[in-house]
Amino acid sequence: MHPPISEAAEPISDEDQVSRAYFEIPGEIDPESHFPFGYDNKADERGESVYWRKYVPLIAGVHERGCRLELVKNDRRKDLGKATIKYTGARTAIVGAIRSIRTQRGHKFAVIHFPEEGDNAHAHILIEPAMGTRVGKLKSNDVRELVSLLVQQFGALDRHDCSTLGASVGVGSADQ
Amino acid sequence: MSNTKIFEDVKIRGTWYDEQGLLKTSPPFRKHTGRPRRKLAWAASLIAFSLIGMNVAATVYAPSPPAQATLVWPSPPTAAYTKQSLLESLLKIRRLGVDWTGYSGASPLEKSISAAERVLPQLPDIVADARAGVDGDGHVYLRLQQGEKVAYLTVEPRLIHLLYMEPGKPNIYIDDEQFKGKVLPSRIKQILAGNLIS
Repeated sequence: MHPPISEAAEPISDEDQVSRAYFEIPGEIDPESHFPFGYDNKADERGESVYWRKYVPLIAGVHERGCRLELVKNDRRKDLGKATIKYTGARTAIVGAIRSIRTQRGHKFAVIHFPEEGDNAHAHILIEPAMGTRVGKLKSNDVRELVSLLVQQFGALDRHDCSTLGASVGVGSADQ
Repeated sequence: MSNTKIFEDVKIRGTWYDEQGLLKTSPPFRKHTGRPRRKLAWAASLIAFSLIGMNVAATVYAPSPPAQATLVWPSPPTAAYTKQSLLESLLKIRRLGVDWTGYSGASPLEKSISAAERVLPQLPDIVADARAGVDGDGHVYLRLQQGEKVAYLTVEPRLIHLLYMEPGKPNIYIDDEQFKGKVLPSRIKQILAGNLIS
């Protein structure tokens, strides 16, 4: 069962694309860790954020959002004395390919529009467990299998270095 | 005085002769004008220049002595290298903090990392592309890949899980195997050893 969708949410067609903003992780760590799908017990879901390319037709718009996230998160981290993060680029997948994933135990993904904090491009990839299974009771192996199949649907990393971008932080400035 | 007498008087008879009623002069005598000498000079020049040319060619185009070539081939991956890769991953994971992927998420659990470090030496000797990762609950998993075959070993402090996938075959799932963080269950070890080439 998905959380209530806001009135502003629209259906996303299978032909559309979504992009995931990537942040730097050490090269020795498995890249599938980029999709943790941790359990959110308040929302009773396991999901990860992506950007719906209908509202971000240019990859520059995705990079702008990634750089803004880097800025915002690092401001908080510096205050807390934590290590900073670095946006490295984005990977893109076709929504239909994500929705077509089925594990051998019947689990799959949903891709839904989820406008958030004024950004109409925000969407979620949510784990949709097989009938009779609650998302909070999913086994580790099920999440591992889903992620293993999911990462294969994303294309190569479209690299970006935020230090080369003129600091444009406003939403939508690169969406034209 | 007759013309004949003039010739005799000036003693030029040797230089004049009468051939077919014509006066013909004999060519003046010159030193070093014989054809054999010219031929000799030419031959000597030819030999000299040939020798010079051959010497130059021998110097310029002489094959260089064979150099000692050093080829460094990448050493074939080994089971020890597989375990070393996993160890390096775990060391990096230990230094990660909260939201380390850039998104909200659990930090890696120290007990899970320690349990994975204890499991590492107990893994069968297999050669694989191997890395460790962290799942959304902060637990460490070890990914071992050989071509299209892949095994995931998720290590919680007290439970361990195995997922083995190979195209065209049913997956192998071992969920929630009791573990206590110390000894790798033998059936997991057997599955890994039986499906991944050492």
